[in-house]
Amino acid sequence: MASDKVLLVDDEVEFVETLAERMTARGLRVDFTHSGDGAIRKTAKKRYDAIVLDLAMPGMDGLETLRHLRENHPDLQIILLTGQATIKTAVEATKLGAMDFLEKPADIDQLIEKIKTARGNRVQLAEKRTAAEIEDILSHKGW
Amino acid sequence: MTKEDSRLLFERGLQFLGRQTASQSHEVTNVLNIINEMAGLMGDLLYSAGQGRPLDPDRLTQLTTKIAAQVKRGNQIVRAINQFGHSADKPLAVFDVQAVLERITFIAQRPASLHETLLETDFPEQTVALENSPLGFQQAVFTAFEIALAAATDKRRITIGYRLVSEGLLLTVHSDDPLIDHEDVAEKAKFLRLLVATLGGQVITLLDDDAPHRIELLFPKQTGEG
Repeated sequence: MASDKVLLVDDEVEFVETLAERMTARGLRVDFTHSGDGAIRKTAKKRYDAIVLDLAMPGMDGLETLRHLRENHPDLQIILLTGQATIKTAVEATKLGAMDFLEKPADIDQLIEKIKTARGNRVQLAEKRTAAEIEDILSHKGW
Repeated sequence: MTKEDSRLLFERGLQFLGRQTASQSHEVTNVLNIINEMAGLMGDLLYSAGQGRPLDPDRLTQLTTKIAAQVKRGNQIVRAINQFGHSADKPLAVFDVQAVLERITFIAQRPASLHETLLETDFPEQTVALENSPLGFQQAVFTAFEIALAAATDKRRITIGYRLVSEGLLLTVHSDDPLIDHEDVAEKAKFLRLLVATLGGQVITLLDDDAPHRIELLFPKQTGEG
């Protein structure tokens, strides 16, 4: 079975590179970037099972990045990672379409479980869309 | 001073204390997060070694060096929070201007960085002592910095400096971009004037068409002067 594809987005270079190494050692295929702009560029070129996205970043912050990514890729599964979780931010993130919300420091096993869930969600959404497309074709052909 | 001004100063003072403490504690979380991952990676490598994979001692040394660097970074942040918190101990004290400005500049680095703005300092070789409210002084500097930040476009520069003049200490916050007088800025500017006046000082330059890049605040060397 193909391994999960993950994009890590965080401006803390040491954190994201170390987490990428640990996830790769656990069999995931991992890319990373240090900015919201970087996340937008990478997701334009490649499909990911999950994005792990930091909330507080220079330039485009996590919520703004989340909004851009969901507008352009509605099926994208995004897990927000933050050092300062508040109810207000959690509510806003959920409204913008975040799949889940974790506080730093996050347990890697817990994070990987959520990535597996994200992949399952993405597959389900893709299957639903395919089924809807087939339904549409069949209803137009009148078979 | 009106009752409203008095209440505003009190509330804004508390908000300033709270916001900076929260902001720096977030920075500590970032450091702990990095240490957590690096310690986790060391654990992963040691587990693999137990399973028969060769262990690279250089890799472990590299990780311990990086962890030590993060602990040092964390200590700096905690020290800054601690000293900042203690600056509220006394409403009036004699303090080292350069030390206090270095601390508030350190604290302001994160909001500057989130705004992709470079924050620099321009201090003379010799520091000076000022008698005033250490917390109030820091709040005035930070408010001036926030006004400059509101005007800053991405990847520009703000410089905080000071020099001694005959009337006292002249603090300057210089922005590469001209300062924009919009709603948020006007409100902060109004508060800054109130705060500096309460500290016995004067706002020399602020949102001035003749000096659009600068904020200048003058503080007497001792309260009771000026």
